[in-house]
Amino acid sequence: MIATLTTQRLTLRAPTMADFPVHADIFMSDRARYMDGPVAENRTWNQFACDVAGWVVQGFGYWTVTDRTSDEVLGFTGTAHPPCYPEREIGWMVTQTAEGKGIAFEAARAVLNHTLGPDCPTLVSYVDPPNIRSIALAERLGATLDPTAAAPSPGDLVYRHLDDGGQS
Amino acid sequence: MTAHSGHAPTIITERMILRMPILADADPYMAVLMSDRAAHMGGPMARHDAWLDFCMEVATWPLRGYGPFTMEERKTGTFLGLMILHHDDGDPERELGWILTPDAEGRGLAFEAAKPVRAWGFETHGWDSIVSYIAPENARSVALAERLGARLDTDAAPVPAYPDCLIYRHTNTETAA
Repeated sequence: MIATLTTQRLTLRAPTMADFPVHADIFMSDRARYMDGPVAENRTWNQFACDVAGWVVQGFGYWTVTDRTSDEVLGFTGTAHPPCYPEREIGWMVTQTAEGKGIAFEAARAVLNHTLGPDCPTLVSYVDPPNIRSIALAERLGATLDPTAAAPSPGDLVYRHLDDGGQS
Repeated sequence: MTAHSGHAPTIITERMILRMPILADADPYMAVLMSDRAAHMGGPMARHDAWLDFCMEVATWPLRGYGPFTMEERKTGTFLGLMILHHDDGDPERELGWILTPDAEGRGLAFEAAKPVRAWGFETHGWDSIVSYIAPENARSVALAERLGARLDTDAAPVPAYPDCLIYRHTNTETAA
């Protein structure tokens, strides 16, 4: 079972097939330039499946972020730990229309509050150095740069989130 | 949309447990995709692509209500392969496919697993038929499809990415007119 999380403006719920086109549009767009994208259309299903598959085999994955009132899909956030990642990562992506409204912050905060605890004392965010928006968001979420942590690709910044009881 | 459990049932056969995939299945599955055995499926793959493929298979359980069954040997607990109900994005139809480890081949295990998995798909989802997409040079899979009673369907819609692949159709005898 995938828990549904609720915040002031958002619902984070289990992904469904109907969310795939929104996910694919993000990955095919320039918005994916810091996520090894943009990707070709025939790679978008792989990306979506990866964000969902963790729920099946690892017990964690990505949620679909929707507007609580309108149900509009605004983005995706959650945690993932593929074999090529040294640690479990929290990531986020929002649609063009959802950007600049604090949506990613509000959604990622809910994921951190839900996830961090005795069973998961820390998460990382791998950020491409030119992605200043994500760096700002990671810092706003209370993460700090961890220069000693291993990164999946040379040059990736590793921001570390620790359990702070949801204070930040 | 039909409600579904998002989870495979556990099916016991003479020699196997057919069950929901778990994380420990990823490594032996990926090893097959990273070997020459994956030549008929666009392989051998790099490790990350093999992981993406594993994800792509298992993700269909919550999204579509069907997906791969892990074939586990009852006697030893060994991973033998995946028997897969799948509908790849872009493919015209849903598919019954199989990927076995080298040790599992030639023992009739795919046949033993395919029958109950296919029957589960027909019964649970009410499908009239399902196809197997097979590379023409993959003689073993052609023989298995025929042994399973599937028939070459030359009228079926081709797969855009693999226009030459053979399409064998398995018909649900319960719903066939």
